[in-house]
Amino acid sequence: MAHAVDQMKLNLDRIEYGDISADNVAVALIFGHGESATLRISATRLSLPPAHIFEQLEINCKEGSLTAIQIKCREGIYHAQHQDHGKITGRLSLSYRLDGIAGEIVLDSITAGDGTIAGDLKFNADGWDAGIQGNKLALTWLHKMIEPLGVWPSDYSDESGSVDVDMRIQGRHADLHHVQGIIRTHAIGFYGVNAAENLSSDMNFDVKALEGWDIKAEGNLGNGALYVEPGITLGTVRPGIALEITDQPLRFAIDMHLDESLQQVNLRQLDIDHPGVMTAQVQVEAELGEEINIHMADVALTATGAGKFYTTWLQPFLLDTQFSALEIAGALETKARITANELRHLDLHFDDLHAYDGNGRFHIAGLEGALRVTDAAIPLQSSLSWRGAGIYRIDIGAGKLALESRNQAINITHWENVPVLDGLLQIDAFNITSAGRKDMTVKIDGSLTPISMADFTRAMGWPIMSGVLTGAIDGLTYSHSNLVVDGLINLGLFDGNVIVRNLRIEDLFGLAPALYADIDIHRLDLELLTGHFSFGKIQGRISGGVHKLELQAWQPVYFEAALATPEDDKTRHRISQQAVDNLGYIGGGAVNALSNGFLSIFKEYSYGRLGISCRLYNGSCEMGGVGDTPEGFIIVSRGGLLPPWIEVKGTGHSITWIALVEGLKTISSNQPEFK
Amino acid sequence: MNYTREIRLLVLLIFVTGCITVNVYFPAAAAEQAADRIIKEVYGDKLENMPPATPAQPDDQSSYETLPEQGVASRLLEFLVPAAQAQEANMDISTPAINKFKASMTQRHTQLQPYYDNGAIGMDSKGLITLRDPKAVSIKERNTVNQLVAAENQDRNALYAEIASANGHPEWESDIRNTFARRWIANAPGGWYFQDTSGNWKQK
Repeated sequence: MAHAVDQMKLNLDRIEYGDISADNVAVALIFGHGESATLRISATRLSLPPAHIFEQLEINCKEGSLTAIQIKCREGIYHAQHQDHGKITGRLSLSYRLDGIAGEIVLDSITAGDGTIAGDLKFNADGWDAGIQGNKLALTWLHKMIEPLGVWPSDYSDESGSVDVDMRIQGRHADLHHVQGIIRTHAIGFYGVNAAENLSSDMNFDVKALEGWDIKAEGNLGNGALYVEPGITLGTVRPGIALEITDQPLRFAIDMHLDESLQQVNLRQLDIDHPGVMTAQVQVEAELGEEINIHMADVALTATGAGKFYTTWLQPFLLDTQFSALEIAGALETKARITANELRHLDLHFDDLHAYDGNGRFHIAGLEGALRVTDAAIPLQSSLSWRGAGIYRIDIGAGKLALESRNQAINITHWENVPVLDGLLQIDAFNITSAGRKDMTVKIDGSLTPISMADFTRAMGWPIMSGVLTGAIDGLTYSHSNLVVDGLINLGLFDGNVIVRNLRIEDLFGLAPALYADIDIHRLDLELLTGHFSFGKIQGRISGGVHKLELQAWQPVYFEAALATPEDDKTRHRISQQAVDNLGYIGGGAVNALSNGFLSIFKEYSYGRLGISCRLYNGSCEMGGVGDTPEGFIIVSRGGLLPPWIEVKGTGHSITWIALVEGLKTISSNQPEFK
Repeated sequence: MNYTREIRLLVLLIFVTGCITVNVYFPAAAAEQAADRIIKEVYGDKLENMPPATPAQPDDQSSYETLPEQGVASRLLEFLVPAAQAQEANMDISTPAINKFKASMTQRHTQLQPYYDNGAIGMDSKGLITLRDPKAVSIKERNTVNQLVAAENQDRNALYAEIASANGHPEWESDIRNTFARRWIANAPGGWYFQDTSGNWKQK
């Protein structure tokens, strides 16, 4: 039977669906022999989102049909000219309802850069469903393809490597509803705020639009390096995690919800397994913004390599704090709960942990045991021990504490006295309140059993002094980075005593701590003070004080110091020639001793009173002594029972602090001539 | 017509009064000298080779944007009011805390310099530094650079507060910060990046 017609043709000026459009569409059904018909579809221009233009599109279908309702094409071959990729050709099948409300297209795999890509798209009145399967797609090729969509992050460069992609995307018009699939990277690299080098990884993901975004993902980083910034700012720092994977893969799984504003985050579960470094399970409900508001957070973490854990996962978040430059070794394990931005529960276990502050402010070695803090009324017991520790230059020996926590406070229920230099710190009371919070407060009452002044002054880098240091410390409080001693520090020194009052250290572990104190000095035995010290021997007592003392960065900037023989001192007053000479060093050479000439043949002299004062201000000392002269002041006055007598005078009234310190250093470096 | 002279005088009075507010209470020239001494030391210029610290000449600023407070009015006033007051008022920059910050920044500068040179970090308009081009820093170095930048900014913030405090005027902190912001840029070698007051990055 012969057909009445051998060809049916339909011409459409323009077809549109959302952002998809085709111009001058011609559909021709060509009848052959028998029942079969081929279909030829052509368009002068096909525009696909976001900005792909195909020209001179022609599709020849081995089997096709054209009815009043729809066009169908099977085993089609298409040819077109793409604005960027030139001539493309491939296989497809499609169907399209002529009323424009539904259609389907399946594109078989074609070459894409050095890889291949296939895709399919189905749409109807309910929305659309697309699938992409890419194999070894070069990142540079992907960048070029995706950039027009506006989802490729700006300011990135140096892309390298390739990815495999198998994903499905569902949506309606321009709204995205669901994306799921697998992405596998092969030695990719990119540089921007985040960065990757030679990174091989794979990840399954499932993202749903559900009053915001519901995100589930799991995968592993098998090799290479990755730097990721979570997008928060702490102080002036935007922390980032830098990972370098060489041996075993880092595995992760995440289940979270972000609200539409991307400000409310509910991290239902984050699991990280970083072999040799740590494993962590985290849940967080928080509000992001200029300040992060944590409604609730649970963290369970085991750091088998505490050093690498600190540098990789912790340090980036601590760069604006006092713990920004630690060197850590050992292991730790913790469980913590934060509610309404406050630490409510902490269970922290240490296993031979060593921590050294890179700025030399503190260190601890061989820390073992647990620290438990709870806000509950039922007490939690824990204990800590360490082999050694130190604050600034003061070494503290091994120690052990038993602790009990309830209502966010920690009480030390048992302790062992802690060696400090060659003495002991005996602790009478020790408690911590608001542990782990900004208003955490540490209170200690205790006493120091004899510490040699030589060790102490050497540790502090001061001129070496002899004798021993003992003392009571009442009401020592550390909170908000400040250390305050409410009571007195009573030091037994050189058979007299020294009372430190109003001691306050602001920003103790900060960049430039400031120390304020008043020091009263009562009847120090000068023979003990100078006896084992290269200053030269002086017999007698001395009293006075250093008031309104102010140190900045541990250097004095102000004080009013005055030391003199007490008026009622009945002890023997003798001074050696060497001590007389050294008083000259203290005065920067501006001292005249009436021991020159024939008197210098004596090795010791009698004196009446001895005294020196200094008001340090603006880098200079206003000097004074036990009396004034027209040219200056008297440091040692004539007197005493037996000759020879001596008088030492200072000329002028001021000396720079630097010259005074140099003088003291000269004295301390001299070898004693006699004892 | 009779009011013209009064209006002119009033305008002049307002103009002069406004300027005096800036210059009488904050010794801008002394602050610049102080800033230059610290900055040159941090940048590693040999102190003995430093010219006597003098206020920046207009030429010094030709290579970067002049900031608003360096306007015509203040320059005119500096001319009208003999710099006696400014020159007499020395800034104390020798406190132990300032020395500590300066030493710490000087020590750190050798580590920061390669990142200034390759444009990874730049000087912002608030007297601080920032990582402006992360692409120029390898992943291995990222956290090192973040740490250096954070530590430098901690020192700089503390330095500005301490200079103001050491000179008995904590309220000068923002003036000192602004002075330093200009002088870090003015003393920097060519090729380093800085941020103008609009937040745009420029290369010196």
